[in-house]
Amino acid sequence: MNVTREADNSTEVTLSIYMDSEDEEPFLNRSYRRLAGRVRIPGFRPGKAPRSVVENHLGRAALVQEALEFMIPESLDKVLREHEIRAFMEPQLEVLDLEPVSFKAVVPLEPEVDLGEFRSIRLQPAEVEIGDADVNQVLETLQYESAPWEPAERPVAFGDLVTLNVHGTIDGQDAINDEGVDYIPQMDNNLPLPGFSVYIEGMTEGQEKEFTLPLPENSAPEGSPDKECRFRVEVISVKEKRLPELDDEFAKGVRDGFESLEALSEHIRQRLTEDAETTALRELERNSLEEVKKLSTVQASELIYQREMESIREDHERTLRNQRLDMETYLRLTGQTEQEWQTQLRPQAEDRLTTFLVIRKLAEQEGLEVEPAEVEAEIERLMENSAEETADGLRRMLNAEDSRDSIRSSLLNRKVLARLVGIVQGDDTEDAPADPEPADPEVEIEDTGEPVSGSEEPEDADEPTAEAAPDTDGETAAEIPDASTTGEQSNG
Amino acid sequence: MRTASSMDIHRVLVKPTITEKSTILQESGKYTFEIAPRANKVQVKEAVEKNFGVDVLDVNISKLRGKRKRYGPRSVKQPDTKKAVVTLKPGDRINLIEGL
Repeated sequence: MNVTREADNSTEVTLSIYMDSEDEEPFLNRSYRRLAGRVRIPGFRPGKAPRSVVENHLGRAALVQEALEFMIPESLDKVLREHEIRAFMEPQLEVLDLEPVSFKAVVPLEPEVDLGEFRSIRLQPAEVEIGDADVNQVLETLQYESAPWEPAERPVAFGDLVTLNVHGTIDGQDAINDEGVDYIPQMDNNLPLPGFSVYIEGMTEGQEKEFTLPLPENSAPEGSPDKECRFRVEVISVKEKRLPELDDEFAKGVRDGFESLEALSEHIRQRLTEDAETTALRELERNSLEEVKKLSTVQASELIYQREMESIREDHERTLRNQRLDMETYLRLTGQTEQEWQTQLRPQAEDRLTTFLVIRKLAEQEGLEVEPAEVEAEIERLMENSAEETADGLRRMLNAEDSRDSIRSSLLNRKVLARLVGIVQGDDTEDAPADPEPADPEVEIEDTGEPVSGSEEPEDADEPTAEAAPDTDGETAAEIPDASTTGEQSNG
Repeated sequence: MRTASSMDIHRVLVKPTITEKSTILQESGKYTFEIAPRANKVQVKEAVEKNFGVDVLDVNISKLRGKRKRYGPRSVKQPDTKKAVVTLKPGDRINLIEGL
């Protein structure tokens, strides 16, 4: 085997490897063994023909072709070991010749990362303050959602739940024809057309009304000159929320029940504070990392960037496929050319790589590691929320090598960020405060197809929306969402 | 001429038989050929020696009767052939794969 090492720079090595027939022989033998079973040669049972017969039958080139698949990586491995080159990722290969086999490999080396004076970064988390107004807002949401819809003997007001028969025509053609639909007129409710709500307001039960609304620009079906929709609406029923008093009685009905309104407020305040602190901590983590990234210099092989761009592209295409789109359609919709899209990939790839490398380097410099036992513990923790029937499958999924890896790396990320947060707050030695909200959204197990936290907030589905109001029998609508859910909503 | 018959020596050997069995036999110096149906052992010996420049110790011949095959209503007999297994002097070799 003849190896030449060219164009060395600090981030990659280019190797040209020329095989001798002596080197090739064992690979060709393996390739024969693989092929023999597949080829049918008259006079021989599959797999029983000797190599000379198979080689004569298929030609030597076929053997070589088959052998390339393992000959190249294995020889390259050997060369890398002999030359003590440590590849950072899969080398880029190019076959130069087949008789005898020779190939070129561009081997990216571990990128050089210099974190700079990252210890001098000083940042503080944002102040967290939860005022009475925030708590009251959550209380009001709870109050609203716990109130059932009750029939109202008065004209329709905004925020009521009305049941309507709606008949709409555009240019004499039926556009809408719905009977008994639930509707909540609201100032900002633009369905079915802007202004609809305004006409509904003030109607009484049993009343019929006709009115015309202009169609928004560009939404008129072709060939309809008047661009208007004529509505005929009949109000069948009007219902309103009678909000319960905000008192101790109300607090007792919330979730498991609270002793007094004060206790409930306190609980809400606590939740909101925790949430806000978590958000602040995340923010601090992100900012610190950004600062470190600014300070550090990364020298990496061009190849690594190319790969990263490819993987971003693949991710993107997968996402598009899930939305039943392809790249072409996407580009057309966003009005970009392929090239424009590619160019904006570049900074994205650089950013992703820098993040990854910086975190890696930080872990190395700070001596942070993740023990297998910690991965076990994390898996157990993820399992806690899962229903019993699915537990086995989920456990198996989480135990797969891939997901263990991704759990490990997300644990490491968390450790690094925690340490970093400690550092930027001037605390160099001890671990940062424990994560108050361990359900880190960064735990990457999206491949599993089933959200781990799926069992957490089924109530969401029952929440009333503007177009489709919930059952009006006053029971399901009284369901109270988890206070934490509500808290997050008012925060965001 | 000391030829046993007037048959053209180039027509005696039709083609080598390359099968699992024949490749195994080759290891003990026995080479298998399909030969002309009228050829005899003497002719085979002469043909192999002249063609491949080897010494033949022994020739065994067997007749292969063609199979009866049916194509719809018709019954057809495939042609009979003759096979010779030639034992060479130890150390002699024929490269059958390169053909006759």
